[in-house]
Amino acid sequence: MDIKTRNKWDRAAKAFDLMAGLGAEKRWEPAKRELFSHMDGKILFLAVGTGLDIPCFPPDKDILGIDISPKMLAIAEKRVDDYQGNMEIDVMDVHDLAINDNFFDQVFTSCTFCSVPNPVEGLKALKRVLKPGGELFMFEHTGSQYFPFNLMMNIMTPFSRQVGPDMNRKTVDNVKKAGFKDIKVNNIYLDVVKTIQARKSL
Amino acid sequence: MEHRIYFIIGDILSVTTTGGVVALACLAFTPAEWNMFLAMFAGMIAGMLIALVISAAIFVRYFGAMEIMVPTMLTGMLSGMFVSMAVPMIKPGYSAGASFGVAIGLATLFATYFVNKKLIGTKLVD
Repeated sequence: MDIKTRNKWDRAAKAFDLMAGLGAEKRWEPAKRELFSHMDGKILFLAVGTGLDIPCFPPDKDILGIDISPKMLAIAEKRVDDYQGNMEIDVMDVHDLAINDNFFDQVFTSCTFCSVPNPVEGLKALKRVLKPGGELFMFEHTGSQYFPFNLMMNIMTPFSRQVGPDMNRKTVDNVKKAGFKDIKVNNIYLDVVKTIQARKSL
Repeated sequence: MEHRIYFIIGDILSVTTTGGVVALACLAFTPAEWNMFLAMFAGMIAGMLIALVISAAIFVRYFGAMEIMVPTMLTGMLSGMFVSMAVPMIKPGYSAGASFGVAIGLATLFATYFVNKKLIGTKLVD
């Protein structure tokens, strides 16, 4: 367990909904609902946080939600209870997943790989627990490849990292490096907010 | 492309507030005897930091995350650069400086909307 990362998100848990809850979730809700509409089979949801995404999940799905922060999950419990389907949550670090190989049909992430300390290793761990042909669905914000957005985000990342996410991650490249195939990217805002779909080889 | 009026108003409020506040801060704190390029660089960094604080403290919680952070930080960067650079050269007044900051904010927002329209959509990577 990465204690430093866990402590960072434990500290952020109390104010997380206030900071991220209303604006971002309202703005991203249509895109998230569209992405989550693909949910099917046994699903791993990585970094469930305080459960802000749960109201966007379609009903009657079989979901394991994990997060590195127990304090985040404590806040998520009410939303998990309200979910009209089978959902369990557990404290787990993506770098140390206590899950068998080839277990899930799908893995979902939402604003997760801006914060995972070793993103390629984390994505490889997700690939391990996916069944052959299993699908990865991500809603992420990343760095931009365009000036001046890239310059600005590179400058800001050392500051934003202290309290939350990196702003300049190359998540699509990381998905490729982790060995996923059939990668499809849908830019939601600039080339910064995007959904990424990919597949583990058969 | 954002069509919801609530978020469009939020976008406009965030960039105009940021542009104005950064301009006023740069006018107040940039020493007139500084070299123009030093002032520009300091203004750029200070503008981005002020923008980060304003957007995170006020606007992000109501209007969105990156959709607020990106244009406000860009506004802060540009407003800080131009207004700080102007101090050693012409020392603009507070109302002119603040108006210029607001105008930079609006121009930045429209430019960001334009670029966004070009970039959004689906592509196959691999």
